[in-house]
Amino acid sequence: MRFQITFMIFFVSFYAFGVDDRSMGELFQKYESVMDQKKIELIDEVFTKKFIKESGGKKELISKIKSLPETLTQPQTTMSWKKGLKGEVYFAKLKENNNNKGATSSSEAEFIVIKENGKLKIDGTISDGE
Amino acid sequence: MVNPWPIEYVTINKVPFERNTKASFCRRPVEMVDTIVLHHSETPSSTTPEDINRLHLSRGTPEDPWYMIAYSYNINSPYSGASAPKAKVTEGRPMDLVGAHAGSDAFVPMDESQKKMWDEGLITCGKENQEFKVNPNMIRDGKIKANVTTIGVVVIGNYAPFSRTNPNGYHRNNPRYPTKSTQDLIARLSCQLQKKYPKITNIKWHNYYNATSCPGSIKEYISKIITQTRKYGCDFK
Repeated sequence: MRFQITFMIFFVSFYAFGVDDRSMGELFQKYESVMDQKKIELIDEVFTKKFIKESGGKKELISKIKSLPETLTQPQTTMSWKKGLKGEVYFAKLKENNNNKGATSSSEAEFIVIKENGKLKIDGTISDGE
Repeated sequence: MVNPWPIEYVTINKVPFERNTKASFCRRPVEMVDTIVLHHSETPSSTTPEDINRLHLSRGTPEDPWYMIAYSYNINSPYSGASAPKAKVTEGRPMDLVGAHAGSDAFVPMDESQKKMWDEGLITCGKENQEFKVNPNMIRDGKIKANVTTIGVVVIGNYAPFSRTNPNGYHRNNPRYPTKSTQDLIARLSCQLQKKYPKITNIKWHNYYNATSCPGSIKEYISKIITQTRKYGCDFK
């Protein structure tokens, strides 16, 4: 099965000192490698230590990743992000368009991204509706 | 101290929340509210309302930032088999301020009394220390923004399964549901609210208004929660 992941990154914020769409894009490419290709060796580069701990530890997180069901067609993913208004926090919106067996659906999530030791990492997700 | 609640089924804690005084927000008569909307925060169960407030103060755009925590009530409650965090309810955004939780594109019909309050110009928006005005964008095709007639009640935690779009979710082999104690806490809070604000007669959930996984498995328990409210003398739809 071949992976065809399309990233369309929209640079939203002009206030993101030291963070650009390239570094954010790289983070989410690694994220998709972890989730889709089970490249679990990248976990420490993708998630913060706090996130891994709150996920029940690395072993539990790996087990969760491996439990993800296979999909016939990888979803097309669109990512946009912006810097939070307070402190060094970023919000990255990931939208998936799934086209599996001809049925189309979409889902999205908003990730909390922070810097850990100078590198962008995912610290969680947030659900709020405005 | 006078108890502001006619009946107290649950102690409601108050904490000081920082507000963004440069942000716009809207005021409403509390009598506009007829629906409780249940959410999960999608964060770890140990997250505090103050943590959520900090995140929400980071939300929006420089031109249109958020005022403060979007939810009116926050429920901390341990997962099944866990002893922490301590179960408690904390007040969030005051009831007379329109929340930011149901989705800015969600609109709902108004009943006669709600329409009257709208027509009388009682729902107004502005910034602190500035004049508040009616915002016509609150209405579309005779319907009003769902945030105006609802309050957001968030159960802090993640009640949806692990997925590419929910990496903090529960393991598929170990589904997570609201415990009986959590269900009871939601029922107590809902009933306490209805006793004080009798117009509140509906309990809905976030993805009733918007395509989202929120509030996860809590949605499956809403009929049980409604049944539970009857034990406290309340009636919800």
